[in-house]
Amino acid sequence: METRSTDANLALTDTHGRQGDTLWAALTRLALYIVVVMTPLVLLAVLRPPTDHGLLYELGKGFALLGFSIMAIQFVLAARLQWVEQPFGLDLVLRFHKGMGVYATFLLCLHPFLLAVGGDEGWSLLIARDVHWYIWIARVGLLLLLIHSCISVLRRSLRLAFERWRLVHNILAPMVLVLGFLHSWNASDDDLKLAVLRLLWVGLLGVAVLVYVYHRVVRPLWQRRHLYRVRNMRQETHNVWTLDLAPPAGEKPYQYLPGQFQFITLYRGRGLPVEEHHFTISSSPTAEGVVSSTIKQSGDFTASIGQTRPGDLALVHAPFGRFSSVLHPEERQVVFLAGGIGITPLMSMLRHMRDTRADRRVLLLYANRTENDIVFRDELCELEKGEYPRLTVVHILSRAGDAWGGETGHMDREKIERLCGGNLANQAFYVCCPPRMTEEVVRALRDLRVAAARIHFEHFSL
Amino acid sequence: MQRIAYLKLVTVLVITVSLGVVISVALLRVFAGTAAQGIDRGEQPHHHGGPASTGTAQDTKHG
Repeated sequence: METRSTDANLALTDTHGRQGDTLWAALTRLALYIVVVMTPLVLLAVLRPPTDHGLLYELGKGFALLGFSIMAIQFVLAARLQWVEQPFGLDLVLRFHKGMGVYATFLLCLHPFLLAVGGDEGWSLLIARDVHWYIWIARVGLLLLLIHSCISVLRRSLRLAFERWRLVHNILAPMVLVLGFLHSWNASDDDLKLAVLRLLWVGLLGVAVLVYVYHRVVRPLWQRRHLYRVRNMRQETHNVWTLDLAPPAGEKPYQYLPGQFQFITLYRGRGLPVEEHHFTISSSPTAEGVVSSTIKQSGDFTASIGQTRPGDLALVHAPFGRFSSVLHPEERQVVFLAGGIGITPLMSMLRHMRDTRADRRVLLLYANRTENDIVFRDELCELEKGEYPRLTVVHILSRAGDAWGGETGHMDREKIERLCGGNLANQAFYVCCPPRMTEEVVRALRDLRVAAARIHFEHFSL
Repeated sequence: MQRIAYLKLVTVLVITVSLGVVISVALLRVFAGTAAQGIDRGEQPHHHGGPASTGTAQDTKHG
């Protein structure tokens, strides 16, 4: 496989920002977010349209203005815009999106109660049948919002499949926003009579609609005209496969950092499911003309991954994530802690280090159940023996056979401390394991007094 | 791991700041309204409807 030059990869790293640039980018986006969601309230404070309402009523109106603004910007947060995602990582952006969704629901649910308590209409606002149409749509919108939020927060407890949840989410979210807009536009007795606020309201709705249409319609249509093709399929272990994806003829693959991930929708025909899933990129950005993901057969969709054939088409949306050692060039001694298929982003980083002749000492602690579950075993051995001699690999097996002479058990505090040589303060740790194992490993590292800034992991389950 | 701590910090910051602004704006408007009524600028009270209202349908709107 051909490789790109080291200089090209240094330039690639620069496009994703140095630490200082990233901090600045993150702060500007955060400041912009606060300004946008606060603008309606600030305008009210500055323009002060007359009011004879009490404090509770005014609070109720303020909660609604704030709640609607947050709801509108939710569409921007969820649209996987690189400009928004890059300084934070998509996992954090989506977690923030979820948190703000719950907060906006809280504000909007309090809105009618505060108006009922603080206004002349009283509880009739909530229970009377003979009310204006815009009160009815507010009731419907609020009910949908509550259902929507409950489903989103409790999805795992309800055992609702991700695809079904996403379908419901994509329908209910725009409905709630439009109902909220219609209600506020017609119901407001003074605030939204201000021309500037009306303009802002239309602007917020417009931004949400535009971003939604771009995210759901325009970008997928463009991507369908630039489909990648499965160039090669390799079976790595009994249940793990690597897909090599090649860009359309005449195009180069997108640029990415080792450790990032991509969204892939496979069009394979043969009655196989067409669903979008995110997978870590296991290849190095130095690999020319191909982007690879190594996938374990672990769920209802991935169970069919072995049936993918060369020539199948793939819609690719990437790259995302900030789990990459190249973003921390100051770290000279790093420890990779992998569990099972969690090796994939770390493998991408190791391949990148090999190809760029990086000057970093790497210890890889790789936990699996059995020898047969070890992914990239031969390649790791070759890296350690000569291709990247600064690498040391330690395999840990929880269900080792009698012939196994290596480490056994789980990746716990004792093993980490012993295998890392005790001097943990100078080392940086990259953790990529199943969620529960990640929690335990991170807790062990914190117990060993490793600074939070030196522990890197990503919430892969979006 | 630091990213998670930053996320929590940012979330708390946004919620605190926004709630602070909502409360401040509400207080400002209520006290401004009270002050305006106190000096009796001769303006008509601003009705917002309800069963006792003698206003039009427009008056029954709320925020």
